[in-house]
Amino acid sequence: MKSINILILLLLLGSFQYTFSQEEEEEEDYSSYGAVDDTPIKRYAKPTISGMSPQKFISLGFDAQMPYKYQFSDVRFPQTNPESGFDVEEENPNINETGRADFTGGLRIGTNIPIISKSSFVWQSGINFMDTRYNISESLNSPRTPVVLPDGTQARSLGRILNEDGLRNLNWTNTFFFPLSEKNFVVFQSQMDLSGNYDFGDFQPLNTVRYSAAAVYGKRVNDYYRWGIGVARTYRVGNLNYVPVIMYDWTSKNRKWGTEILFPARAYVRYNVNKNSLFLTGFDLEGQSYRISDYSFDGNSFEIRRGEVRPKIEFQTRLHGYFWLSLQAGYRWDWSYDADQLDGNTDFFRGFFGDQQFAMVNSLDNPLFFNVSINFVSP
Amino acid sequence: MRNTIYVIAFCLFTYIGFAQDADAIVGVWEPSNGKVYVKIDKIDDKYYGKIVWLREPNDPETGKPKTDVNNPDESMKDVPLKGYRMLKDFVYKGDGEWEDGTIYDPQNGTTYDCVINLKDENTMDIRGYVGVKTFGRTDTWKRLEKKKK
Amino acid sequence: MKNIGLKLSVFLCAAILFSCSVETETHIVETPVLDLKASGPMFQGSNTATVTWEYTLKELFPEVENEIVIEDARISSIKISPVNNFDYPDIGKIVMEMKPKNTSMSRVGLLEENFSTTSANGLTIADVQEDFDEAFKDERLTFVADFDLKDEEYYDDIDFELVVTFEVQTRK
Repeated sequence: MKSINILILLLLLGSFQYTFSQEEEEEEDYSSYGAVDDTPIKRYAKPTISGMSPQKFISLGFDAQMPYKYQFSDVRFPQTNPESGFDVEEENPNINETGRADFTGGLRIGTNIPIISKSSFVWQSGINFMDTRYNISESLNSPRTPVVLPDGTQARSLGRILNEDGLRNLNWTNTFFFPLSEKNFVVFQSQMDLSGNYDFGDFQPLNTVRYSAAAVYGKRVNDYYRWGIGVARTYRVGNLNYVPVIMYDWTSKNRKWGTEILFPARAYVRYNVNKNSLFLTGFDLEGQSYRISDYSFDGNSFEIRRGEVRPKIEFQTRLHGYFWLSLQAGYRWDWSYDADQLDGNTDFFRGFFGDQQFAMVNSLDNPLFFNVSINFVSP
Repeated sequence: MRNTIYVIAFCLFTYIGFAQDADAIVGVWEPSNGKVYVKIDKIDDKYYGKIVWLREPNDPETGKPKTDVNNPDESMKDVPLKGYRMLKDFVYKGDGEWEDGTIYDPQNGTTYDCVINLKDENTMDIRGYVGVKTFGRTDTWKRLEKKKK
Repeated sequence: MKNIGLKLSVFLCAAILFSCSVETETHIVETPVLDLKASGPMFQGSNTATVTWEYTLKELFPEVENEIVIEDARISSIKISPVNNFDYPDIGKIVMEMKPKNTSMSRVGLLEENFSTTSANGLTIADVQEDFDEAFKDERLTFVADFDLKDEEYYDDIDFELVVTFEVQTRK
């Protein structure tokens, strides 16, 4: 009986302790406050620094390239020429088709939604869609020789395929931000891309999904500056490649100037006009490996390695609340439009030094491009 | 006699338990970045929080106490950060949740919608968001008490 | 109360004479002298004094015949005065917030210099005053003053005299 007495008394004291301790204080010296339990307090690096251009949660845009001429080589299939491999000379390809693309571009939808968003961990996920339509005027020089598949059937020329189908890219990106301490963090990003001339009624086989990923270790030096270094497996140059990644984000103390660099994907210098408008100048590197269904057979995948470097100037401004408008103008520089045939849909690594031959060697002239988008952004 | 004591003790205990429910967030708290201490108190029927201590109380350039320089309202830029009411209008909804409040971030002058979830007596999750709860961030705050010297 | 009624009538007459809008009429509404109180013991740093003003719209605008509809309300001045013969500790800046019954608390004023114990202190008024018409309708406003206590501690209560002036537009 006595023990229960004491127990109840202790419980009562415990619940009273909080109110009593308040009234006994005479000197409120907050620097002597400490956590109630003695676990060491974990501090976390914030995922952004001051002054950066707002992060886009949802983006709806339209991209347009001005007219340019193109030159496509012969299409070579190894089955047709079993002795010589692809036999398309990189230096002096046999031009089979030339033409003019009057319009290249289309709708772009981007999403990047926080799934888990805490100080200690951020996971953002999003589906992105990019549609590239080609409006090809009378080919200046229709294919000299028609494209013939190894089984003898005739296929459409690439110019016709682009004009009639266009190219589609559907992407799912997941980004994970792990703060390790107040100043150090790790970012990990993984992407899945399904790219080709498919339409939504007739999807590409799912084993043509291409995987990319990047991992960066970074240091958030202070509220105005952070850097990071890492490595990425990427298709941005069209081909599969492994590249180093350099992150360098900096804002001047007066918050007028800054850089936003995630090399090689993008690098910008930023000028903040005020809290609601800013200018960016720099470049974006875009690219994917697009499957051409007409040329893919016997379980192989014939893919155009599309890579573009886009130096540009961009103006971003707040329209209302968290809706911002972005206007871009720049130059679309063709890095790669060559094609490879992939056996069994699996990719191979050529890198910068590989000497595997291409199935098509193509070149595009470089036009101006414009891009407009409306974005729902993060505060 | 003993029985009476038990009954009184039991009644008192449960009463204290109930009263503490809505007021359980009253006190001094520290956000995960440790830059400020926030004191939450009750005014009328709602809960408010103000900054009572800053790790870096003075602006390194001027040497003067920091003020609300990022406030979009020009006339309020001289309000000192020490004593600043950054949490406002929280209403207790039951089940350890306080909603309908707002939180102000002096670093960028933005006010967010906010909810508080008391995880246990000494830990709370405070989530600031824009529009819907998806577009926001949760921070974990720890309760502070005066350490006996 | 009679004194205040007289004051209000004089103000209202002046306001009506000066009003030019057909649809609304402007009234200058001054609160009675409110007792802004902070309960001790208090400590160095930020402390809080509060006072609640309850009123009825009928009492404030007796001459408005139909339903009283508040179109707009703005605070035009806030004065915090020392109570006569009170021995005040050293007080620095004061930030005034207004907490209405049903809408959000808003910052309404700031006293940038130290509190003067010899004369009335006029606060700088906030430019941004959103939804004050909604706040005014609810006939209950709590004024919250966060003030900086420079001394180490103060054991008693501290009282201030608070008068807030509103410009209220009602529908005619």
